Amino acid sequence: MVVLIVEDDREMRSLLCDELYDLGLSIREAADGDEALRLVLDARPSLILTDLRMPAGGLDYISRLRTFAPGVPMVLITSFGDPQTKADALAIGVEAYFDKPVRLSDLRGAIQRLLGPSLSRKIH
Amino acid sequence: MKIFFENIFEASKDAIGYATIDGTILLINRAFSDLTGFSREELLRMNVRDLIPEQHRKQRDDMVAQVLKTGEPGEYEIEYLRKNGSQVPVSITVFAVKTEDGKSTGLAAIVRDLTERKHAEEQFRLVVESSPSGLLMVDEQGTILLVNRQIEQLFGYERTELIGQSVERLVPPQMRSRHAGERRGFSAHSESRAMGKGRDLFGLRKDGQEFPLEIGLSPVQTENGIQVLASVMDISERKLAELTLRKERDFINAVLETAGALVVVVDREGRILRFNRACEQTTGYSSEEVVGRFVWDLFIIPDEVDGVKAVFKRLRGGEPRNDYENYWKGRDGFLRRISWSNTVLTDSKGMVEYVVAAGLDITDLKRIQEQLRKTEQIAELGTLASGMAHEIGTPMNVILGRAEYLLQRTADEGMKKGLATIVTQVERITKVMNQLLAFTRRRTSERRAVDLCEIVDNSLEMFQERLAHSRIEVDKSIESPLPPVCADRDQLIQVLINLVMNSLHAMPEGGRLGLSLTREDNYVCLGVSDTGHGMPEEIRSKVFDPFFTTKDFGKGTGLGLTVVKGIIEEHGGTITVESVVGMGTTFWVRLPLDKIQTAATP
Repeated sequence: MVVLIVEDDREMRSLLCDELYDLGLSIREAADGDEALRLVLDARPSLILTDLRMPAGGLDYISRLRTFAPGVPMVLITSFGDPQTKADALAIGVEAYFDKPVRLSDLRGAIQRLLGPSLSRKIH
Repeated sequence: MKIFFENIFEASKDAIGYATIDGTILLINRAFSDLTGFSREELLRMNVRDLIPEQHRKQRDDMVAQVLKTGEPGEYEIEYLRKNGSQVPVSITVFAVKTEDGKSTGLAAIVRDLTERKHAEEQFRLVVESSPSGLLMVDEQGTILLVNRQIEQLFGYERTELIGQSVERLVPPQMRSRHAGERRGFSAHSESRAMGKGRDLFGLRKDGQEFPLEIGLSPVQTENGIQVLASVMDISERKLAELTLRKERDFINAVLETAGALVVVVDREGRILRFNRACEQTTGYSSEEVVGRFVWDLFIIPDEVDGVKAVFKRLRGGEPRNDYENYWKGRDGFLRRISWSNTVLTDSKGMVEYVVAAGLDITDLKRIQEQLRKTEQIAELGTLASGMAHEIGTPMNVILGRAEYLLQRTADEGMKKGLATIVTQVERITKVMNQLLAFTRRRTSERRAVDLCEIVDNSLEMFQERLAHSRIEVDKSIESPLPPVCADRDQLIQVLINLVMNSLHAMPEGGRLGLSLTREDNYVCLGVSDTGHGMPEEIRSKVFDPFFTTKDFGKGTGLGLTVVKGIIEEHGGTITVESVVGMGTTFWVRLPLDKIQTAATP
């Protein structure tokens, strides 16, 4: 099961990769919006975990991602986003929304919920 | 008996003489001799006609002829020639002396010296003539007997055209009948007075023009009955001046009353003389109520009385104008902030006579400015906070996440404790940031009439469990009935929660939480007190500063009271704090009454 992680901050990306790797998931990484859109077609991920504010990011990018990968659950993690951003993102069809800093336990919960029983076996 | 009559005859002050019908003097008394200057012997050799100047002899002869004809005494005035050649005015009463058979045998005359009277008359004429006012004399029938030069000039007539005419000729036609009536009334109970009291009088000139005048009346008792001396003043110029003055005054009044500015005029002592409509509207006092009273006794709040008096003193001391800003307290107790421009008006000697103060009510302007300033500040803070949140969000997430990640993968207790601390501390930063963001993103508040009593009860309910566990006793004192305040309910609950929370924190060992609500003028005063540890002055003075906290590391954000103060001030209220170390702390919140509700329920 492939998860696409889109995050421009290297350390943050590394953290998410480590956490998700331990969940037994295959990971593809992108550092900006353009790279993410290329990868989503190529990798056919089961889940997309993405930042919002980054090069070639923003709500436009989220919409396009939605169009490129319909049916793929998206988890948005953004820095202290205001309520409006959250509402807009949810309207576009983001499945889960987190303000940074997010607790890993919360994130894990959301991923499990979105990937369903297929994942639960692999969690230690 | 004869001696007796001779004595009376001789003693008479009036000259008495007896002559034959043709005028030969037969008998005269001493007064006759004194009057003419001729001795008795000289007179007894003279004819009466010798005493009369040539030109008046005919007048005398006619009179004598009439007396002889009618048998009635006659009276006339004439000049007598004296021995020294001078003339003396006399009044003569002449009558025929008759025999028993009714035949006239001689003429007797009583002659009175008129010098004194003529002199008095002449003086009177001079006085009348030289008077600056018009003078005229009328008899009881209203016939003009005398006028002076001023009357001729005022009315445009020659005196010959007036004397002998009715005085009503000088009165405009529409007033004549009334005038005649009043004139008769005056003759009936005459006393000196002004004519037409409180009424405008007019005179009629020969050319038909009318003019305003004033008349003084004096009755003069004469041998011919009561005559009336009228003194007439042309007041056209005065009326014109009055009219100009009134127009000027009306103009100034109109300007003062129309202007939106407050205009107060005070005398040099500070007593109010003028109080325009804008002042009445702002203060709720009418002009009648305040005129004559001191400005500082009515509108100035105690703290500012000295300042206002100082400004007034400077104006009196020679400063021609100055500007000042202060509060005015209206009848309803509400304070208005007024910006004044003061100017002095001096009298002809340069002494300050009046101080004119023109003021603008800048209460609303100030509030808007203040709100704008705050909004700008908050917006700036918001920009800063969200920028910061974005910048630190990711690094904080890395720290938090890494700590959590490691925490799950270590069995070392020391390590676990350290990692847990990192997690807690990052969460603390997050909390501060979130509160800051929430503060800057506050929604616009919704104000309505709010019952503070209900808010207090509501807020206390949230603490019920906590109060029960911490040995804190609640002491509630609420004045009833309490008028509503105009406020945002949710924000007030936030205020109450913050204040109660602070009180509870101050009493970890238990104590008494006091909550009071009282009405003070146009405010409701909320008191929240604790019997906790209290604060020294250096802390007390900083409690409302942003990010100031005394709580243990990690327990407070330092924004609670800043937010509280912001909310209260947005509501037009105030918050103050009193504290005694070891005794406790009390917060006093004053919120303005809801004007509409309060007005509706007295």
